Amino acid sequence: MRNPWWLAGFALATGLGQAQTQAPTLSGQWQTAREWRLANPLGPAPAFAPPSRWRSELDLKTDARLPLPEGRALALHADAAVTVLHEDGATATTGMGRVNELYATSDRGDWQLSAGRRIIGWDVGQGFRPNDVVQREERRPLLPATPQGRGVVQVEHFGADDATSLVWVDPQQGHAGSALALRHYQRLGALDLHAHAHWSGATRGNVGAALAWVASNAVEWHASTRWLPALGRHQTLVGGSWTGGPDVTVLAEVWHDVQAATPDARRNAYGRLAWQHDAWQVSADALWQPADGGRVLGAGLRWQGDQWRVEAVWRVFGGPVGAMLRRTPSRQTGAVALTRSF
Amino acid sequence: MTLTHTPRALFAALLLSTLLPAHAAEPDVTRLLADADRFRVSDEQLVIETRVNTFKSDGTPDKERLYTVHTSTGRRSLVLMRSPAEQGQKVLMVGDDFWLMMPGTQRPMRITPSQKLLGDASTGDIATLRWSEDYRATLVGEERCDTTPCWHLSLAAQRPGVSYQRIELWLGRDRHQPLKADLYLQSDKLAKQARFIPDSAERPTQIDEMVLQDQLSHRRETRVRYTARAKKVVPESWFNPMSLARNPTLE
Repeated sequence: MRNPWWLAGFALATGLGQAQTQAPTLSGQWQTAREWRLANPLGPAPAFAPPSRWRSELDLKTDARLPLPEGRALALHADAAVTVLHEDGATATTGMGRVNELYATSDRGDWQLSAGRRIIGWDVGQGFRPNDVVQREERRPLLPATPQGRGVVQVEHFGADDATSLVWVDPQQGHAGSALALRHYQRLGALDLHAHAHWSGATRGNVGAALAWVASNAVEWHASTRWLPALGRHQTLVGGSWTGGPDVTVLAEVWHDVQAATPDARRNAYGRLAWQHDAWQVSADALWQPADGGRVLGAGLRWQGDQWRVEAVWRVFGGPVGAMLRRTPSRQTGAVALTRSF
Repeated sequence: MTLTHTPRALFAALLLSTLLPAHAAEPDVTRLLADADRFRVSDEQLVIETRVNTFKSDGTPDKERLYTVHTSTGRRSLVLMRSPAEQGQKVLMVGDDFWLMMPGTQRPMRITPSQKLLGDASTGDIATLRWSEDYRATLVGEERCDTTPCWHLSLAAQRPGVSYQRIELWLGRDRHQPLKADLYLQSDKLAKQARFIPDSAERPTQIDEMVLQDQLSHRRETRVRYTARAKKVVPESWFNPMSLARNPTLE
């Protein structure tokens, strides 16, 4: 057994079989979606642009609790998904399964130890997260989806207003492929402060800091920066949100990403407006890269019932002919999804 | 008044206070509010199972949500969403500070007090169960609530993060159980009207249900039913925002 998360899987299976005090919980969702991708004639290879497709996914989550001596317990969590895809023009339907999370945790006082495949999301931004060094969530996905966690061994300590987390990421990759990540959190009333440090064989050491501050009943500010000594550069985000009345939320962010694909894509400005009325939510967002004028405009509509959810989202990539966002493989992308939660 | 008259005057005052009806005496407002709180939260450290049903303006059922609420000292509440539509979401309230965690990201996020107002029964309605910690009360007077004699209190928010800036609250005259309330936003608009349904009409010991009538735009009715209450002391670390990414659903 080379991968430690298999150990957690074994522990989970054992726990599900032996947990005496409480039955394991089971929850999840089934989603089917039609995803459109309209090829961009100005893209790198229009003939090979990703085709539109049908996608169905069943995502199951389970939790169990295995009693241990001295009143302690081992908590076990698993999240696995099966996806079926049918691309337009393809003769066959493809299926795949993946384990998003499979880990065990144990508490001892203010300490917690976790091992297995786990989603560990850090940082304070929405459009971009410089200090999301463990999970590296997909940025602004068309439809929200559970990301696939990473193999970790994690030690955490929780105080009244502070928390420290040390994560050994991908330990199965050995010295060359694994990484160490440290986060310290401190709450100072309406202000959240985060200090980050990260080391890997590829990027060497880097440090970062982030804050989130609720300035008033309706306004929140956040900022995050990470210094990359190997590049002599930084990644920085500054943003804020405003809640107007009970139904309207506005988000605005700007960031500098030194690791972007091209120099023109390093500076970004992002805004999102969402309006909620009963079970309906309407949203519009825009991403702008001022260096070359490239932009992405999006709109979304969502209805949430007790168990069913319907959502539609559309994005248009544009800007001057030379802009990077004008030359993406797809000129437009969109999706309509039906989701049943249980 | 001379010294010779004083014992006679004291006797007269004592006699008067004995003969006057009890309800004419002005009650201690702080005690009234603390008594009213006890009908919803019998202990400082509790776990409360809550079911929220929303009805459209024509009375047809709209949606149902289930919540587990852990309350603790220092105005701390942890709300765990249990319904399929919200499974895995958590909201933490520590004093005037609020965090939300969505299950997909495992990333606790700061939210503003206004954001916790979102929805028919806002997180504030579900998680905030004590008025005495957040409001300063003044007695308006004794009134009749339908056929029941009641005390009318006016509550003014003492903290910036509370859901409602002003609450007009009516309590039973004898047992001080909450009967009804008008809930006002910061703009002084009447947002909701609440009715409190006790376990027993004659001898109420706890509030079983709160019925909220939306007064702004939707004219909807929301029924917040407290299906179970139990004393439970959870680890202090559960009220640490970074702890939201842990998995306490089976604790």
